[in-house]
Amino acid sequence: MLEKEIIDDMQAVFLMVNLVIPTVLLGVPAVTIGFAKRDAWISALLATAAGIFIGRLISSIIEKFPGKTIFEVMEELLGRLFGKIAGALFAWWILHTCSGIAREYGEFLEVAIMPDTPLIIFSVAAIIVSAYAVKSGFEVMARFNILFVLVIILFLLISALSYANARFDRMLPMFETRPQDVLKGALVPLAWMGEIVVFSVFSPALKANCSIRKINDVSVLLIGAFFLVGIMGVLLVFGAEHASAMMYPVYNQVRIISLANFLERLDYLIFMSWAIGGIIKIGIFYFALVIGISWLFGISDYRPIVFPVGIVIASLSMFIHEGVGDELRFLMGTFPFYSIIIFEVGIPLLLWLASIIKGRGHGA
Amino acid sequence: MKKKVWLAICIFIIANFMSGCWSRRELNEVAIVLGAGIDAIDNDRIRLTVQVAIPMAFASGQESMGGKKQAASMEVSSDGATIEEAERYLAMKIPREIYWGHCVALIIGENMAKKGVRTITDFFERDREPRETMWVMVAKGTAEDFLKTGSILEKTSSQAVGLLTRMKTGYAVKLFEFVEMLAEEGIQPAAAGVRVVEVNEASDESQQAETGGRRVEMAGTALFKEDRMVGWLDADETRGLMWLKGQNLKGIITVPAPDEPDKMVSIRVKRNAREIKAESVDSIPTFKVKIRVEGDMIEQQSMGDLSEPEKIKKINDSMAAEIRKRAQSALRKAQDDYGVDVFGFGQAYHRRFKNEWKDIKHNWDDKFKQAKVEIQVEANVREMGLLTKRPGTNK
Amino acid sequence: MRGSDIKKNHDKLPQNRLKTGVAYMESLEGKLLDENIEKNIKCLKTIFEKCSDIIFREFVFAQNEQIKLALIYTDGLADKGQVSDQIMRALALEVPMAVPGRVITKAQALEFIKERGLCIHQIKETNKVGEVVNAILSGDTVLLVDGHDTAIINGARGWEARAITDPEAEPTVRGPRESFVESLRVNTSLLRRKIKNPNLKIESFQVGRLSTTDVAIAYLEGVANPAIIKEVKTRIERIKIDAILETGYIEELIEDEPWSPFPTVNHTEKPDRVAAMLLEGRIAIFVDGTPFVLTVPSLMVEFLHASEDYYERFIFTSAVRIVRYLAAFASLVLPSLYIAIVSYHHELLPTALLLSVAAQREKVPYPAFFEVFLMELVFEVLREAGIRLPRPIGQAISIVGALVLGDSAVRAGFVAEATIIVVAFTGISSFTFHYSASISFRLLRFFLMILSGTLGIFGLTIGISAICIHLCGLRSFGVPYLSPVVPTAYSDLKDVVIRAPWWAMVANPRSIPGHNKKRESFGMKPMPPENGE
Repeated sequence: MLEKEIIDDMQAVFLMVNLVIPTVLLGVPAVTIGFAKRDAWISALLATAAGIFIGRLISSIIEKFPGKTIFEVMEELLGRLFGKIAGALFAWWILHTCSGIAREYGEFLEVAIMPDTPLIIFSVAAIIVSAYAVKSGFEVMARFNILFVLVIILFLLISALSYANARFDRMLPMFETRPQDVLKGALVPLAWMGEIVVFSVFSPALKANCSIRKINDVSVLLIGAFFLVGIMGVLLVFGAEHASAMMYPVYNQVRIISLANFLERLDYLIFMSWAIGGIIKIGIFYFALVIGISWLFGISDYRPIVFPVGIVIASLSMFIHEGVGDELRFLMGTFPFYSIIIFEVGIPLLLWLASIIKGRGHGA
Repeated sequence: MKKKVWLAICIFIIANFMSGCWSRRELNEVAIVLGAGIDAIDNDRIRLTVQVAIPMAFASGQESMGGKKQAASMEVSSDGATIEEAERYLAMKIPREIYWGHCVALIIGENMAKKGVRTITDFFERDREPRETMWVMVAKGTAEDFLKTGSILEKTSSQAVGLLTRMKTGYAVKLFEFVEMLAEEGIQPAAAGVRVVEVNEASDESQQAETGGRRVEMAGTALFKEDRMVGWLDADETRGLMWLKGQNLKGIITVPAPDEPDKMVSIRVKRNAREIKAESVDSIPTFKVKIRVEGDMIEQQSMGDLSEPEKIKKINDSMAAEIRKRAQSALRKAQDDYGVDVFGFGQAYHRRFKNEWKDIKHNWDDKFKQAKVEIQVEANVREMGLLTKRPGTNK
Repeated sequence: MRGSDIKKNHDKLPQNRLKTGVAYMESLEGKLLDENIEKNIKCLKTIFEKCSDIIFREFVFAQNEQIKLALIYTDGLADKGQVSDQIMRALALEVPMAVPGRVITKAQALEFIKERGLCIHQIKETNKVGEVVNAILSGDTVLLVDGHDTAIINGARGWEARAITDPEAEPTVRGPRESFVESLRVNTSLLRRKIKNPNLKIESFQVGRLSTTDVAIAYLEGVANPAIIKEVKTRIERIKIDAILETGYIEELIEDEPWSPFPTVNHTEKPDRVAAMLLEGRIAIFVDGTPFVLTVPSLMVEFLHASEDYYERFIFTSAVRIVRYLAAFASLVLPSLYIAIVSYHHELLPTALLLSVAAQREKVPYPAFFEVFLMELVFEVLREAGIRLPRPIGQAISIVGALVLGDSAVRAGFVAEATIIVVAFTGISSFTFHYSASISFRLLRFFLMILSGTLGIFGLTIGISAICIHLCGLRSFGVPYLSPVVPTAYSDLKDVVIRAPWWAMVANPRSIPGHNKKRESFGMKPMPPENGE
């Protein structure tokens, strides 16, 4: 299984942030604004609050079983048969989500920069690079991710330039949207935030003195902050009506930057962050999946199955959705309920209950 | 065995990638569109005119060698039901792939504007190539005619209007701003107007011949109700519109000198801002607009020493009066003549009274006609340039 | 029949020769000298058969003509003056003058010669034939005395060597101008002069089954990490190769990641740089016969730093380093970025620039990728020619070649002006940092160009990601290659893109696991008296 590799708490936090952020920042603001209009920031805050709850739920289970992946925890708490079933379901969800990400990854690039290139090229290229990262080990992934954080910071600084077009009265009047719409707006980003549950696969790789609860809290807060900044930027620059009609509003937000008549046409910042961020996001899911599958079949070294699994992800990403309409319907309608109820809250809650009943683990 | 599998994978990937270059378009395979014009023609069809740059004309040091100056652009038109359809027909006339990424201006012919523009903005937002930052303008006459007019200083009319808007002398909107105004409630869109004028200013005959003795210039503002154009503001009223919208503006305000009313003082506007306060008096929307302007005195004709505080105060007052007059004229035209709220008073009302707004938002334009608007101007002269007074005033 | 015999012999021959070559030294291992000088000389003559540069000088001892002596040395390696003056003259003429009338018997001869007869600073005794052979080949002079099975090895080496000159590969404006030479001893002495401390340890090895090259590792005890020292030793001792002619042999044989395009072992020819490396806890590997010294473990950032960075004032240095990092980045990605923009993403150029580039490209028949690739190849050819050509014409040819080729290529419509600018700037950028790193950047540049030629900026990004992942996984003697950036050692960031002033660099780099945590006392910031007293 996971080799003795050690990452510190900062690397863990940023891995978690980049496990969620890349796809959230590009696609979700438009959806949230579509539901919550000018009050989208409330949705962002709500999603963050609920995200912290999910993070705490996960950490309360994982911390009882130090040095064990969530798969092994399932086996221990639910028994061999049910543990394997739950684990298989969880692995399926990771696979499904991962191919969904690979699909989204290609879709943005296809729409935004290279319309004539077959979709599969993007997914395959990203999966090849991710596979290389997965083969190189979790430590390497964590380090590469830190490098990318530097890119993200640069990107944030530059996208702040678009605030030259921001008008704060676009947020007014506040509290106009019906509460149920605000909640709906919070649901989609929450489903994305809940993806931090995937990180529980890597808990054995953490340094011994890290507090998982703290890492989860900080990560969710950071993700929330990024998301809030993304939403506010779009809202203040384009206004709610215009922004909710866009597919990738943050991309448009960077496109309109024009400062001093020469600092303009900065689209490539988005391409690059998306290309690298997608590799990381796919890479982490991919890694979790590979570990899950090797656990499922009792394979001691995960490396040999990296490529076969990559081929599965790539091919699944091709027929997982028929087109963008289908995909949007799934991501905005089905996916939140499907992932939140079953995988991000359901299974963790089940494990938590089991741990209480069985009284296993350290704390109990 | 393992090595062979690797080799196979590598060959597969490389073969795949090398046969690719799917989206590649070399620079000499594209027709760079600098400006697009859209006119309405019969049977609900539209005519798309593109101004395509001829790259050789932009090469450095080429003009003098060739002797005769090469045309910098060519304009091609084509008809279709949608813009994309028209573009496909264009592809039959232009041997290169049409490339929108550097389109500076979207010129809408007056006919088209009157028929409704919502049908045409979609392409320019949906397609990845055209940028949201292109200028949206309404041409008096046809867009086709406008684009075919050359420019002497700039090489093409699109670049010329692009730079003209940059000077901020007239009202100008970018595509994303225009679309936002179309989409939001409580505000109606307005776009810059442009026109072609006959001139005789080019001294050189060859230049005359080249531009056909015509030139492009900014011409006021086109007002829209929903997506249909309803009327024009002239240049002066446009300034009023900009004051009321709080748009950055570079301009000169000329007022009579405090001592000698027949002599004038010119003030260059440096900063301007506006603030709208919405109120509801007997359920009639009432707005208090406060316009703040700061400027530098750059020219004066009178012999008086204008650095004295009370004289400056007088100048400030007459400046405020002048600005108020302009703003009033724009307001009157929009409110009374056309009945469109291009200033965003509705938004201000919405921000203040979100519950009442629900009832009136559907007929806001009618309500707006009854709305009372009170304009307050606070103008200030800050700097006086390099002179304190006219030399020789103490004689 | 005959044909197959020849073939048989032919097959045998090289193997035999190799066997004699390698095994010869081993076969001498247990062999001892005889008491009879004639036998010894005969034995050595057989060993040195057909070696015209080995001199056998036989003479008799002045004190007692019965005693035969023989000097054996390599012509050109032994210092002839010393051999004739301090050994031959002493033994053949001057000994009787020093001790008149005393008769030395055969049995006393060896002791007497050792104590009174030789005016040589360093002598050694041995009775092993193997050591004798080795000593002769290393430049020592061997004295055989009749009646003794012990030979005296005189350290009278002296051969023609290059003088210490300016560093050719790493020129500096400020800082020491000396560079290493081909002689190991001179090199270690240059280092010793920088660090006068007994903790500077220089351990010797002999590597090379045929060449028996002297190899030395130098480190500061108490500063360098013992685990790394041990690792270096094990890796060097593991080497079984016929010859080591340059440090490059060792470099390739001890690397952590032999397939990586990046150098994980640094090399330099500047003694001050080696000293600085040792002081930070690294280990240097010297090889006799080359002026280049290896230092391990090495980090990526080292290759972007120059020794001068530490001699110039820190503000200037920091500014220059930023430029160097940018240049390094440009030398890696600029051509690919150009390809990506010109053939895929025209929207990234401002309109005016796009039109001017479009005008240039109007007459060019090839896709940008092909054009840049071609020009990069031309540039590489010019550079290679510049190095290989005899020096006086080298520069002239490369400049003329570049100018004429570039200009004509543009005029003939093969390439656009912008391409020339990009290629030329890339080429120049790659000279701003360490040569061996710039080689890897050069290679990867082509890899990235292919990617961006097929997939535009997406391909470029994918390529950069792959390179970064590769770098993140690299190690040099167990030390992560990208440290201190990732894994992040915050205190080390003071010496990465910028250089902190010397008074602020209190801690030694933590990314090199050493023992000396502090390299200076706190409070070293200059504090001149307030009112100029």
